[in-house]
Amino acid sequence: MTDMAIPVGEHGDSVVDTPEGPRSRGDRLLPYVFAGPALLVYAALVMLPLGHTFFLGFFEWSGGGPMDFVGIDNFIRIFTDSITMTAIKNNLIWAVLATIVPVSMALLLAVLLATQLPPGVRLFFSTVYYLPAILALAVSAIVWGWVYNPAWGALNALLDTVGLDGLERAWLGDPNIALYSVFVVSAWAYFGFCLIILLAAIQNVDPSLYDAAKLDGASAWKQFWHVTVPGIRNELNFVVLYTAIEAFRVFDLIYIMTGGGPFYQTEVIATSVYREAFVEHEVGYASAIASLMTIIIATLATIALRWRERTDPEAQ
Amino acid sequence: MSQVEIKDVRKRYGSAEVIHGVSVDVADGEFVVLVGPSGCGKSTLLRMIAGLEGISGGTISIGGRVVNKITPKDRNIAMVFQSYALYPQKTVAQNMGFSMKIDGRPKAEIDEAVREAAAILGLEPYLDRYPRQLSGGQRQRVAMGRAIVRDPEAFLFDEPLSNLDAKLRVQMRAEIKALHQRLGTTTIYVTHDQIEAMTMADRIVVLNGGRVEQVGPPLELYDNPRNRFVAGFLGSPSINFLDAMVDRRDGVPAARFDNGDVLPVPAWVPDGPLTVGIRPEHLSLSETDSGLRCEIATVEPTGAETLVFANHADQPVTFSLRGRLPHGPGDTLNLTPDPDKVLFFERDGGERILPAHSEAA
Amino acid sequence: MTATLNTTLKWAVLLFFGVFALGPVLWMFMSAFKTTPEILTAPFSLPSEWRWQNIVRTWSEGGFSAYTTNTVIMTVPAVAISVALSTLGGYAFARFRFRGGSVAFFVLLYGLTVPFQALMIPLFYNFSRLGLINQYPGLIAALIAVHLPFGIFLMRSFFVNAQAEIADAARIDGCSEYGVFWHAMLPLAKPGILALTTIFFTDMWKAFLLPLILIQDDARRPLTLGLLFLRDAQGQQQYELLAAGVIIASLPTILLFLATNRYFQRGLVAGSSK
Repeated sequence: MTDMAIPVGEHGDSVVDTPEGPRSRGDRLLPYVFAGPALLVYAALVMLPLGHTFFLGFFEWSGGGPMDFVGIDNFIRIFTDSITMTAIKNNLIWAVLATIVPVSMALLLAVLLATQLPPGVRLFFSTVYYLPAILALAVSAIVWGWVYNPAWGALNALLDTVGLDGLERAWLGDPNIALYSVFVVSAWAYFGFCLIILLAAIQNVDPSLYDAAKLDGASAWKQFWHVTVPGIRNELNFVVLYTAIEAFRVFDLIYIMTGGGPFYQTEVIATSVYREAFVEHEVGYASAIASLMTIIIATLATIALRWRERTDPEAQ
Repeated sequence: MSQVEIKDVRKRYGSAEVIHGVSVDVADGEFVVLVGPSGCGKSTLLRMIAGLEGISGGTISIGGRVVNKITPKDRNIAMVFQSYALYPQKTVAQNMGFSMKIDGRPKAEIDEAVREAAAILGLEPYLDRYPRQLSGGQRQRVAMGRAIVRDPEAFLFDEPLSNLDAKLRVQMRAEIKALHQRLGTTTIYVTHDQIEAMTMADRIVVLNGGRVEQVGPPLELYDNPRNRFVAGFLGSPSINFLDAMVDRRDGVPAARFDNGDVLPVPAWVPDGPLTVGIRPEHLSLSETDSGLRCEIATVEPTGAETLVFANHADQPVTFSLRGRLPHGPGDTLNLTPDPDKVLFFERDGGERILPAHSEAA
Repeated sequence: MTATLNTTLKWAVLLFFGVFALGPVLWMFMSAFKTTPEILTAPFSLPSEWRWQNIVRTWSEGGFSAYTTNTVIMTVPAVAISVALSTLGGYAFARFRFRGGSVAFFVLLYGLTVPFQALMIPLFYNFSRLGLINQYPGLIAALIAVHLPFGIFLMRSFFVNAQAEIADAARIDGCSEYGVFWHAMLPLAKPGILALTTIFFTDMWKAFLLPLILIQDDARRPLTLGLLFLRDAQGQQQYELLAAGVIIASLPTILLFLATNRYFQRGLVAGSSK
């Protein structure tokens, strides 16, 4: 005797069939209720402005008054403007340096910290190395601004003390080295983050792989190359990708330490956008530069994702 | 407490069908075990009964009403999970009383029900503890307590003992069985462990690849498997399968093996190739010269009995006997099967060959 | 022999980078207790006397009490709301398939790479038009929006890896899907929520570009802008006040970091690789 049951859900509302079984209609709405507000905020304050920026790139505008449509003039101007080209060049230099220097530092230190150490030492050092990363970049910029001060800064004073005063420089004032001086601060700020990730990754490598390698007669260097590096490949890729993307977004340090100077030699895309938009009142041009910046970064990320999908079958 | 009726149930994921028309009737108060290898669909079937998976075809009825479109809460069932699934931030008492609290029952009623269930399971001293303070076995009891409090029409168990160590498993098996005898609630129990199935079930449902292979009381399935799969699945150490050819010389039917051994077979066995099935405990050392000549590979004396792994014409054979064996690896043994216990299976498809069969041949 | 050489080398490298990492910060901290002439002439020596009054002066006269309050007003609501929205959103994306879900997730993924420069121009002009310049609500909303992709990602991966059986138990016990979230899944997410709160707090406390664009009045400035303002201020340079300002600005996040770092590192080793 099977009588048809009337489908009734939680709140008396009707029941809907889902692959996971019958659920009340109110329940089916949960994902929309939960994700809705976040997506709304995101759409309004990120996606809309993003589209707007692309849109503005095709206009000439001072921020007030009329907007003149100029087609792709702004985009072409990017490549004829020596300052903007310097900026792009600087970002590229920065990207190369950022993926090599802090990552290598982090890798070296991670390997050292993964070895046998007295209790607490590992945590101590990793805490110390990570500290710069949690400071506001504004703080770091000011601190290192002091370090680099040609008259009384710590760096020149140190060189003086050890008798290397020939190496003293105007670290931020010399147009040839200013970019690299600021880069050192960036490396200082980011290597701790890379370290923490790589250290955890190295510690997650199965120790018996090292034992097997030792039995096969592998030296320490061979072990590193054939066991450690493949074992942390995912994290290494992540760290390299992260520093590369951040290299194109760098702003705070340069703005505060050099303002893009001297003579625009430390200018980067981000500072250019800021300057053109809010100082030169060339809003359209600034928007075009910003759009280009977004596309470069998105392309980088896509390449990296595709590459990872292809080389690592279990990547998420 | 009432019956659960599963009628021609199917489950599809996209275009792939994983459960193909399963039908099982569970009588009121019965303890039915769904057993099978991983991926056979037993857990999926259980979850469909619970309402945690959608039903692609067929109907499931609980207590006489079709529940296809009824939410889990309203199906009046309770489930015990493999990982216990206790709420970590609630006490044992709160865990057990939770469903009644959601239902809006008065506190006195909840406390009463929780105390009763706790008494049955011996959980009284733990009512104010948190799951993290309990051992695995205790947590599993709390999970059962939570189910009891609901006073459902059926209990559903999803591999509840898989996370416990062997010794605890044996103990909990007995406890679950005792609980069932005491409460008499209809129980559907899923496991991949055939020992659990054999020892706990009133009836076993053997599932394979989304289909029912056989349904019946444990010993019935053990003695009278319908096909190779069921024969091979139940019983440890598992049954021996030996390929042979049956023919008749001078009207006497016999099975001939590759190495020349001959085994007399009953008259109803048809000619042609088939597979002989004989359980390890039904083989004994020959008194005479005839029988199956096997070469011993390894011997495992476990104290009370001896397990012998041997080879017969390149096919592995396991045989067990009570007591010790004076032979070792490399020796040859002559084994005779108990003629009443020899099973015959078709070479293709593995269907069991029975007396009525031969009529058709 | 090489073993001891290796060990010495190892410690030398570790210590070198330790000095590299901490040196500049410690130097600045020390300078906060000195006088200006002292900073200029004796950079490496300890302060002749520990002048705590420098910090007090920076707090009151230097305007840093206001800057700190502003930073708190900006950060606390932003963290709370972002964490809440990220948890809810992460849960939705983790456990449900819904219309537009995969598209939305894909868009969020790319949101992680979008630089703020791509948003700041329209944000500035549109906020101006809406009168949201120099106001906390606008600033907070923008801060929340740019942090949502990361937050949703983190919480989603958390819920994806969480044990699903407890949700089933809650369903059978009679919870609606909302009840399942509240009673079963949310308690499991506590570690993730704590981690996210720490990360967001640290990151929002140091926000610079966003306030730079949206805040004009000195009265509403957060600490990062206040520091910059102090450094570039005309008139007599009082370096020790700037150093003291750095201490005030960094202290909360440093304390939070020291308190929580141990758990983070343990958590990283215990599992996930991205």
